[in-house]
Amino acid sequence: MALTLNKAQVLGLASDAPTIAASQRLAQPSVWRGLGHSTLALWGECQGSRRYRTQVALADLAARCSCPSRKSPCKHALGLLLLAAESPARVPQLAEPEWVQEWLERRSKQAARADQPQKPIDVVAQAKRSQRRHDNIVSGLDQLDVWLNDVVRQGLARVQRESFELWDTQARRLVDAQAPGLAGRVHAMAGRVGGSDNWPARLLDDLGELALLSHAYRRIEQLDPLLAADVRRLVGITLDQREVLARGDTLEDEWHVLCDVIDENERVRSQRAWLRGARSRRCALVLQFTPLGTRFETPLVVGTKLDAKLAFWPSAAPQRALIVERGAAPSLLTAAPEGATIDVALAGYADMLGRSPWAGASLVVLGDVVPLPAAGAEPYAVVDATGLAMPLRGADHDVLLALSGGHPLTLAGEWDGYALSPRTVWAEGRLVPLAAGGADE
Amino acid sequence: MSELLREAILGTAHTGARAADGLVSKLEGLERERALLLSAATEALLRRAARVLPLRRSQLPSAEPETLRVSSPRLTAAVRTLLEQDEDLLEETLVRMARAGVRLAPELLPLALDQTAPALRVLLRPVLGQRGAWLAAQRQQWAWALGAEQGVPHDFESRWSDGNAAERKQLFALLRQHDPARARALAEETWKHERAEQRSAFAEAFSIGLSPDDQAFLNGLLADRSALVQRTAARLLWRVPGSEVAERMLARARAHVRFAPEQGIWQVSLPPEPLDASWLRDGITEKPPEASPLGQRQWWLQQLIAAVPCATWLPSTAPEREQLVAAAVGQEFAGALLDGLTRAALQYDERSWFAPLWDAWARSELPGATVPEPRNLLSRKLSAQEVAVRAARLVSEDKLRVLLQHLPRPWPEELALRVLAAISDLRLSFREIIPVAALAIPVALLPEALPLPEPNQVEYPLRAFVRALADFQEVTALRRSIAAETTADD
Repeated sequence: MALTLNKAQVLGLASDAPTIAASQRLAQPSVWRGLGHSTLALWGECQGSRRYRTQVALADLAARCSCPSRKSPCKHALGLLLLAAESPARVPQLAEPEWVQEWLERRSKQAARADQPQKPIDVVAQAKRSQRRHDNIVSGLDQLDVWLNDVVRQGLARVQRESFELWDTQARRLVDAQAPGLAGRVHAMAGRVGGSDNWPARLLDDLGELALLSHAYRRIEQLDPLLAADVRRLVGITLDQREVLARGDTLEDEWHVLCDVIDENERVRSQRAWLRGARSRRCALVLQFTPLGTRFETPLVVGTKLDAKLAFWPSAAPQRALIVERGAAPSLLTAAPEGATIDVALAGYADMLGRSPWAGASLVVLGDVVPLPAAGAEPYAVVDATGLAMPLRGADHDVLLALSGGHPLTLAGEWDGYALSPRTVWAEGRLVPLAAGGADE
Repeated sequence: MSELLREAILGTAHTGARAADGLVSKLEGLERERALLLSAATEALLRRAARVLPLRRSQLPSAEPETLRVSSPRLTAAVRTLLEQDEDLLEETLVRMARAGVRLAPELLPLALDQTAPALRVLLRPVLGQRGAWLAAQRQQWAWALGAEQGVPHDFESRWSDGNAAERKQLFALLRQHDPARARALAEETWKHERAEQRSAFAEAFSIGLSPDDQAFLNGLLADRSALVQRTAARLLWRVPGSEVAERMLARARAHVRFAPEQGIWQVSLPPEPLDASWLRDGITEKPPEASPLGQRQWWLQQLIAAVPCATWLPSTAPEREQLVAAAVGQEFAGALLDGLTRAALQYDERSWFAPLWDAWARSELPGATVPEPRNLLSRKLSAQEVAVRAARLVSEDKLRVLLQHLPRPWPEELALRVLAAISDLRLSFREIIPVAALAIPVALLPEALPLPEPNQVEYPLRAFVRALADFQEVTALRRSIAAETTADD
């Protein structure tokens, strides 16, 4: 079997930019000994300051290396993959050496263990638990409503003088009431205060949304079941993956990965990847989390497509999804995705808000837009052929501007009804991911 | 501001009652606060759903078509790393790109345009392409890429009057470069109002475009309130031929130093103690720099020699520069002599003295008086030919470490091959040269790979050597791949 790795796919595995830079230096045949591949794996020995044995399982591109790096894949594994992607001829097909065989066997044993069935669910106990939680949440909401009313009675001008305490105490109460979703919203409000020139307006929007959510939860029995699912999720009653598989709609399609946001804190890396179905035109948001320095379970690389079955979280405006099954290795998208005019994108977003008023950011793909730098009171924006201008979040969009050079381009990003965060650009036949940047307005 | 927002900011406790409207009016029995919040929610929803966006005309002209080809993704990734980490390889890469007619990928342009080092900007200009020029026009601080910084900025006056200390210092130096007379006039005008450190900075800038026209002004500075300004002015006047200070320095130097062609020796006498007050006024400093090997009186001697051109010492008859310099080695006060001559040669750009001085330092093995290793300064000024001869001689003596650090890159072929051979032979004294060699050996001479022993199997100190070689492999591999991406013919 010939090696058919592609470079974008490989780079998407990297846990950070320095690893990419280091791996490019290692993607040279001269630093490797004993290169080879089989149908199952790819391997080689890297002559660095020490000699390391590096191997990659081709089924899922999981890597293992004898180097001490805690990153996975490390620079050696990434370098090996890059080399194989760029010059497959330098990596001959051979029988797996013993050390590669051992590792593959160990992996298949582990996989077999993971497939063991889990113990059945006690339905009665579960119902009892959820009733208790519901009661708990409702009493939390009673208290929240009093607090919300108090904030508005005193006026937003006053909260600027309040400390973080004001928000934190209320957020803690909501955690105690088992409504972590609401607690998160209250915590986020603390950051709004004084955060921008128009913070009172944004804070009022947030407070209103929260009040509406509280209002809705109290009437959850009267809501459309899908909207009720949204309300439950937003309050913080989450579904685990098994429940999503059991209750969510599934959809098979050729999914195009159009943009993502990768975030790192001191322990966890997270990815929000936006996919769009080639046939269904549906958008899907796949969230993945992984300990820092390790790779995501399913590499979703912007600019690739994969055949997959997705299961959507039950929702009146379903977006979030998980990957149930996926087909063969992803392949590169050869052309820019079809982009909409701003008018059409806005109509799509309005439709979504109409179905679920708490819907957050959504994927928009705009075609033929030109970025315009901020001028006076006008924010940084993209303008389409009809002259409609969509404001961009934050102020640092110079890379976007450089990519355009005043010419139209195709852009994918997240729109939340306030501003657009551009994430991926297609210009002059190339795809360029944009770095995350730009504070909230 | 909407009515709703106004009420929310002030607080319902402080505003008059207001009738609920819209959707919320259909709900009964709501408290005022509740009605306000739910109205806010519906308003926000409507606003986000039916966002009416402003119309804007794109006033931007679009960029001209490119004439250069864009760098490959691989080269783009390499250049990004080099730019972000300010690596040594950047210079070579940019030069190669320019020569091959390759421009930076657009996504790197903001990063490139943000660079401030003048030397780097010179290298970046040819690889910015039309897109770079277009982008540079969008921002004031990128105007350098349009060639606008060639002259004095058009808004010089306002920046001069409003700028902070660092900016005004920079502006003054710029003005000295392009219009020394105007700079002098400006200094005369504002001198009284400037703070001491500012005056000292401006005085230093007079070294740019220094000419006899500056003499009167600098003479005036000899009576400045700041001792530092006085000394700076005096030392500048050393270099203004015909100035009174220069004449006095020349007379003092001649009184204490002389080359006697008959005997082929330097006749040197140390200045007497204590230091004459008039010497101090003329810019001589009393104390040698910290860690200088020179004693106080030798230090004064060094300054006398440094103040006048080396050519001063050439007798009208016979001896060559080489002889003069060679004679200084091994003589009494050789350190002060050589250091003073070196300073003078560099100061007055007397090129024919560089190589003889370099050789003299090499033979004497004396430490420099003002910098630890004067050969470093001289090495940068030598021609490739002069370097090649000297370096090749030193390779066999294992002494060239310091020289190689400061040689212009890439190295001449003969030298590069000798160093490569020494490294391949695992000559341990070359370990510290390896990182330099990785950057300086011409790409065409770089081997595909050096045979490496297994580091675990070798003894210290060879282990450290092999580790350095592994880094050498990585860097040279990157250089080879950059070279492959920037060959002119594909």
